Amino acid sequence: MKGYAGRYLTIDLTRGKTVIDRVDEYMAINYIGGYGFGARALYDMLPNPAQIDPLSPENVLIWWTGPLAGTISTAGNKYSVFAKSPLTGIFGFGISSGLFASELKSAGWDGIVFTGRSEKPSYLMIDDDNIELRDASHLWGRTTWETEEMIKEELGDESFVVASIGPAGERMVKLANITNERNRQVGRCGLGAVMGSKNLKAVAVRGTKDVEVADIESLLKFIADLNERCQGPATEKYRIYGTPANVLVHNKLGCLPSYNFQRGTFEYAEEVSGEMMLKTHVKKIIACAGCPIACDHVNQAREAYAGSTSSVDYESLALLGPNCGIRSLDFITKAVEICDTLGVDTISAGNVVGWAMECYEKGILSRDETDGIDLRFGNGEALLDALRRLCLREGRLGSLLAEGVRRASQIVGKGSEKFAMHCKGLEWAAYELRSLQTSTLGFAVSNRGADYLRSGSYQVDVKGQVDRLRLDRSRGKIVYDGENLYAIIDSLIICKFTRGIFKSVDELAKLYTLVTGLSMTGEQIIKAGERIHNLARCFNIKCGISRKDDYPPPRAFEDPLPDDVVKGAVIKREEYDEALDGYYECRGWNKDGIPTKRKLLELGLNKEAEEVGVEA
Amino acid sequence: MESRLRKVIVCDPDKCNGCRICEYVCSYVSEGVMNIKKSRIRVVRIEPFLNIAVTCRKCEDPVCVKACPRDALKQKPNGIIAIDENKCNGCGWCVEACPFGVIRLHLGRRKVIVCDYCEKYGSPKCVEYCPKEALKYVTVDQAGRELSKKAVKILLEER
Amino acid sequence: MLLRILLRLGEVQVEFIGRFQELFNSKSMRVDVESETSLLSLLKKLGEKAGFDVVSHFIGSKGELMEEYSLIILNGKAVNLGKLSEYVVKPGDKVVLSPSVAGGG
Repeated sequence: MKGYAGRYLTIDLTRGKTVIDRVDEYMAINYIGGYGFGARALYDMLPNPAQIDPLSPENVLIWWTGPLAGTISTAGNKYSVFAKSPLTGIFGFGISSGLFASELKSAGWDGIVFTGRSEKPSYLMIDDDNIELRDASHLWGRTTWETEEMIKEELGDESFVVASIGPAGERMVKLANITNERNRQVGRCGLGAVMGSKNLKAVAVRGTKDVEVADIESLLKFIADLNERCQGPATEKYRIYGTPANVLVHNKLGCLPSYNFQRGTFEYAEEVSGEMMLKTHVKKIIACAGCPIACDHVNQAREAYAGSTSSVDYESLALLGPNCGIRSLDFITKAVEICDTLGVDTISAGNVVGWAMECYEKGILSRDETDGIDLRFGNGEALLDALRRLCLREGRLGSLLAEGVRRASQIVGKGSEKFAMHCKGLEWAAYELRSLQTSTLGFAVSNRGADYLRSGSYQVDVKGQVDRLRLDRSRGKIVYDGENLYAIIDSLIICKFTRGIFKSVDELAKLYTLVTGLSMTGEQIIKAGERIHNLARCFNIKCGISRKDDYPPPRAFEDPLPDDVVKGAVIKREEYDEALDGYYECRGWNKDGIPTKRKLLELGLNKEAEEVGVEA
Repeated sequence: MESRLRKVIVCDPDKCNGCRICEYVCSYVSEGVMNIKKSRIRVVRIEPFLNIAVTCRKCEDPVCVKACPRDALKQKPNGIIAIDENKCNGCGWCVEACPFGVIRLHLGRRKVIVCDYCEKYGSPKCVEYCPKEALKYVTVDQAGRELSKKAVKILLEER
Repeated sequence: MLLRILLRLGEVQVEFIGRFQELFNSKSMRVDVESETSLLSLLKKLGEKAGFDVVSHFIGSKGELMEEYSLIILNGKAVNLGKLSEYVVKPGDKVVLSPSVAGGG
């Protein structure tokens, strides 16, 4: 089989030992790559996940590319990282792009598995077949951007691609991420903290090998066609304004979260819109390797913190901006820079600071508990101060926020749990819950917690295909279809921004076959998507997940939206239950959300049917 | 061919976003493989804002040819640098001499490689695949004219 | 007539986001409608006023829905582009033309 390197590395950090294993055709066809490989590996390597402390040496940290990495495949250079998440305590997973995946594949590796814990700070160097665990004591405490520079300098070649953690990951901040090439992050689920717990500061890769492709002539023709489509209408929104184009649309639809999700519109939306940003702050638009779209809008602050530079996307902008009441692109740019360099997820960070601001305004957190910071909504300096403390676990406020919004609200109590905007411990992304209700179902049932990237179910809401202000049983099918498709997109791995350019799932299968030479139909690949999703769910079931965890936070049911355009919107519990039932029914799971033996056996998940499956 | 009529590959740094699609295509065209390290065109990214792809400029009286102590490099009448692999021993003098760093050592063989402008196809594939039309295959004169136009446009629009 | 001007009766307020701001060279526009009209007719009318084919931003040349490209919000509700001729627009309504939502990297 082509496309794959056909082998992966396992590194025992405790003993400094390296083992090479093969990736076989069975894995390739059944689990594709990325998400699929990660789900398989996590399930197999952590047979009793409930007993694993995510920050202990017993946790594993798994990196996978997919079959497309290292080839010219349209926006197909992505890698994924997996572990039991310290933030959620369940299936932890994140994807990043840039050049890292291409480089790793060129070095001849499909993936890397880390076990154990290094005795002292280290970083892994992969230079084709030369694998070396190197001392990182001098890098400890450095920002992600400094770490990249220093490693390249030390290894004497700029062409090393580096993925690293910042001080937040070292301090095991639960929101810590992994950064490669400055602006690209494995953002969610706190996987940077797992890296920190293993004393692993960075992975630096250089590869020089050819990546073999089964039918390179046809692939090039197909890619020329796909890349051409990427200059068409379906991806215009990413190319021109980038994802911040969403700010004004969401504002009009009443689904732009502001003031910690107390509202669905923001009175200063114009000032932080994608339109404004392009005019005043975007200095350069850059692309990940092999991407014909180019969505990454790199900003530079103009007045406050002039010169600060960061790549600002919609999620970062909305959560660090409107969700914290911030109306200044300068402050947002600076806030993202702090998160990126010190190494935390902007979504989770903006969410938890928004929660703390609501606590402060409601008198639940005193000025003493905020370390003297006047943590009002809209106070830009307070946001930046809180972020720095969060990243460094500094002071009372920093150590509280570093735990993520679920744990922080449990510590603080006093009713603050009611407006801790998360699901399964993962902070809610920038899609309002009550005014995009299909989306909310998708977020809530997602395998990694409140997640807009597992099904894209907001799409039917914003396209007017359903009544987005209510739910019914039929929404289950929409989420189910979206999840199976997205599982494949995340396994191949391609960027979701290309989803509009593929005419059908058959084209995804075609891409897979052209690269790997393994025959695959659209139907088969979607079945693989369903298999992968169920496997990850089985891991979660072992972690204790069931129906009770597949619900949005209380605010969704209890606080009707005040905004004119969606006034009074709230989720009705009985409607939600009905939609959830509909979802479980499509999935072939029982009423409690546990996969049935029958479904698992149908998907070829025999071991899982035995260990997790229920009769009906 | 008169050197001013020679068409070269030029890159507009405002449009280039560092996607490297040119590198992937070139590795296929040049060597039949997917390996950006074997590309004859190179994307240079200087963080955080600068991106540009560079390749052979078909210089007049090229220094790479002059630098070669073994007479392995010749410039053809169309400006393309031809490498005689029997003579080249990968000493790298030409690599050091080229002011753009676009003639390089091959990764595997100890020979140098340089852009041949996809002679076998008639026109460069990297230009064809560039999704943002940052790469253009034009004479230096044409490139200059485009730049003048752009500059004038900016000047007049700003007034 | 005076009352009509004062209260802006007979007009639909159309707001533009993203690309539409550039195409119309404006952030909003008021369009006269006699009484009830379909959303499709409104788009055609807008096209006549602005001098370009507005409908083509929502329905492709082969009748395909351009849902990944553009969206319409009518009085706060997202519009199903497949039913443009079924939506009724009347004086006082608010319409937003926008690029579609860009989510999920």
